[in-house]
Amino acid sequence: MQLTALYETSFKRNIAWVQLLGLCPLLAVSNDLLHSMSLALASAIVLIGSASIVSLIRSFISDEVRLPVFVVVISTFTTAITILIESFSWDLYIAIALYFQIIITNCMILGRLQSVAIKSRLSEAFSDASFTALGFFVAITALAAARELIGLFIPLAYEPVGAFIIASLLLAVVQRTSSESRKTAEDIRNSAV
Amino acid sequence: MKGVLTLTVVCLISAACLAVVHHQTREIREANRESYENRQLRDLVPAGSIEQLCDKRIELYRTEEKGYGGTIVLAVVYTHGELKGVRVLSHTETPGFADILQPSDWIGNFGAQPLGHVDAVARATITSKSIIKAVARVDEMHKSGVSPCN
Repeated sequence: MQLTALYETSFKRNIAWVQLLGLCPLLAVSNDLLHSMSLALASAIVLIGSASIVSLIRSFISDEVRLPVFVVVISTFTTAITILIESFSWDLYIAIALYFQIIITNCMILGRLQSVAIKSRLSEAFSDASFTALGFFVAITALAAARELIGLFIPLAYEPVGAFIIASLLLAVVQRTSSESRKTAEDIRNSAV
Repeated sequence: MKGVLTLTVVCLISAACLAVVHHQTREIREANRESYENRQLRDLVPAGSIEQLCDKRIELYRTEEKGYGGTIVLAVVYTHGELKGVRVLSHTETPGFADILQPSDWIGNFGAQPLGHVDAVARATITSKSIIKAVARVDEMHKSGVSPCN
């Protein structure tokens, strides 16, 4: 059961490649494998933490204050993570602090809180957040690994334009190999409308 | 009414958590920043306090200027009364555009060329102009005899 959910959330409905969310850090930080992995881990902590908190206090959150509460919870986690990185991993902080700070605006996180955490029990919210975060981790490390590998031969891959080209090629491969993913994406888009 | 209460409680808890994290890590972060600043300055000045530097006729000015994305903290260094170079100690400029702040890039022109010959950089106009402005201000101070050594 959990395995099906894992496959569904992390791969078949991959937050980046299928739902096309959270692409900003995906493109910006993927020129370095280590940076991408740290950013994916930080996003995972923020996502899992906020989803759990929101799920725990969901009966107290009325509709009018839903969004403000989400944003406060997400930004608390993000700010705390940024401060911790500033304390314990200074070089990383200097290199990509900005991208840690803008985890707040990552629509992947707000999206999961909105569509799952607010109406699920803690265990469901927790596993959905973990699987989504895993999907994001896979997506960003795949892109970063591809860029670092290709960059050995074609330096263009390190440049921002390389990120767009390689990301779209990867996206095309993913969409082509799983014919279902296109249908899923359409379903999601329709349900969003 | 219930919503207001929830939001207030969430904000209070959030502020408390951040205050704890901020307070617990303050010393570590300050130490990190200090060692980073020293590393940035290493090729320009030897290690030591401002007073020790003054004994070697090195004047180290610290100054701040508003850049594009926030405050830029600069160190402007004079040796034997001549402008030796400028280093950025901290900034929040946009990544990529901030590349001109690397010592091997544009900011290395200070000290290598006369002050009036350092031009602003197209594409990073606001960043480079603020730095030119700040350095010119320090230079005025330097000429009128205001020094960290006095």
